[in-house]
Amino acid sequence: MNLIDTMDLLPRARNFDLDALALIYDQYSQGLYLYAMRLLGSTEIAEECVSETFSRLLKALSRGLGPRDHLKAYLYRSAHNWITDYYRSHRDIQELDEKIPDGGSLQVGEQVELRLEHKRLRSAISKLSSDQRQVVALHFIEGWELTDIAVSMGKSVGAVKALQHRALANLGKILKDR
Amino acid sequence: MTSKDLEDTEIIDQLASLQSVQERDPRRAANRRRLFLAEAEQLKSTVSKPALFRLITWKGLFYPIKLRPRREGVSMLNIVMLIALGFGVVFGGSGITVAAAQGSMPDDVLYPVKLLSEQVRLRIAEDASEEAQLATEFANRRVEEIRTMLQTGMVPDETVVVRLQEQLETCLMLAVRLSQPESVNVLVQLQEQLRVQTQDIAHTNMPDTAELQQIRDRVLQTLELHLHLTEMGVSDPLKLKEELQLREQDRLNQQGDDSQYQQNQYQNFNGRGSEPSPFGSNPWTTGTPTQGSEYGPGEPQNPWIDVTPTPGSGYGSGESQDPWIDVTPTPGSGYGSGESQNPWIDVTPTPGSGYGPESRLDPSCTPQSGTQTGSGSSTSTGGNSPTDTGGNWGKP
Repeated sequence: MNLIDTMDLLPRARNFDLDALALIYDQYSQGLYLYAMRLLGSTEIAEECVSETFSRLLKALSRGLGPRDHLKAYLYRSAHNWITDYYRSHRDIQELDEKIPDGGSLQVGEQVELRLEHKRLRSAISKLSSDQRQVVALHFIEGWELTDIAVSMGKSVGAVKALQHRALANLGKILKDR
Repeated sequence: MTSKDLEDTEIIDQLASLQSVQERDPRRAANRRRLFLAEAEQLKSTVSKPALFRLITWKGLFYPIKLRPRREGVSMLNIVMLIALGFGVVFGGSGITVAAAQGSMPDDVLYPVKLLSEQVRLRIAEDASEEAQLATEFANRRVEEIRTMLQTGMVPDETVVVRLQEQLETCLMLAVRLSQPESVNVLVQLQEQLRVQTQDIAHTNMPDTAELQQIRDRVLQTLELHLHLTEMGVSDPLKLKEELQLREQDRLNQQGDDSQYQQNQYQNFNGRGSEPSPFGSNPWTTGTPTQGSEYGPGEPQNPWIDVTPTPGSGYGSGESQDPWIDVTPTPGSGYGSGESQNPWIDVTPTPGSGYGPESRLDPSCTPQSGTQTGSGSSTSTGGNSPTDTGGNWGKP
């Protein structure tokens, strides 16, 4: 689905056309889940993030608000805010139900090590500033282009590059200190 | 390749390893989807009826900034003082006290007088443009107060920093209410002011203590965030307006008083409600705002930080009696398990409602993911870039 399709969906979504809303949900919920899961490490909390992100979208639309265009950017920004708030209220990131992917091919010791490594990384990411975390997550984990991130964040590509540079430097420092 | 580059490459590789995560449980995903559509259907009935109400609600986000319910009580003394100051400012009666208060600092006895006099000036501003200019001037005062305190080794308490954040938000909110040329003018002015202040605060000579350093970092973070928002507004005021709407929406959701506010608005519209107190109802000058969101201290009561979407917090939980919003337990919020009590989960879909197994909206249908690899694998990788399924949002 391209941008034009999305732009076509938005007016229908504003009128609470359930078909359009379902299409929007189907198009973005899986990606949002992965985004949240990668940063939070818990399926339950990631699902919560997705639900809340879409619930906020509905509430915004019901008030005549919500995204004017860039629906995807809006949804990811909303999810990002949710995750940021979650980090703040849960300083010690819990990963209670994370299972190691491809667990069958790894020894137990390796699984534990990988899990600890992920937890360490997420913890380090959670210590970045909100903007830095967004750039790191979207670019290096989600694979977004910098230009798309710039649009999403309302910044110039140069500013996003600067954020990326600082984020990597900070991450390196945080990981070294631990 | 330098050692720094190698280090970055190593970190990037580590980050990429996070792409492999546990696959989404299809049943749980389908359940969430059903909840979403149920919430949509519920809200659909509310948006189709009160179109005018919706307009008022929208305006309510921006126009009555000062008429919003405040989170802290207003003492009668403050109201009396404000009225007296109002007369003073207008007729020059208590001008001496007010003038003396203008140079006061946050820990001075006269400081509340200074703040109240500012409120009065805002209220008697001739138009929205003047109001925005005044708010910008007052934001400048807040920064100068903090800078002076840092220089003299005084540690600003939480309320001082929070007050700065709220003042800056007020500036932005007032600015986006203006016509576009006026809005840009105010934002450009605020942008320049914030740039200078960021430099000033960063280079302030102050005693070398961890506490002061921490405060300075917070102030700098606040200034940088609002500088970013201001820059966004200069290049695209509508985008800033949308961003502020999003933040306001989050704030309302998180406060849990959203439904109450909507109800008040609706009652006011119908003449059934009384107008909130005209004094001290400005939410930007009272409650605890943001910390790192980057809006506030981080107290638990701060809706931008901790109160928020915390799972289990149950905000927007449907406890409200507002018929327009949350009557039914908001499905999308889905906090807590409570699934057995949720009518949207277990109830048999109404034929033709679009939710049954033969419907296009059948929850069991496979979402377009495009983000999973390996048919039998339990791992989802990559994905979600703008170039795959969910993508192209930014590209024609």
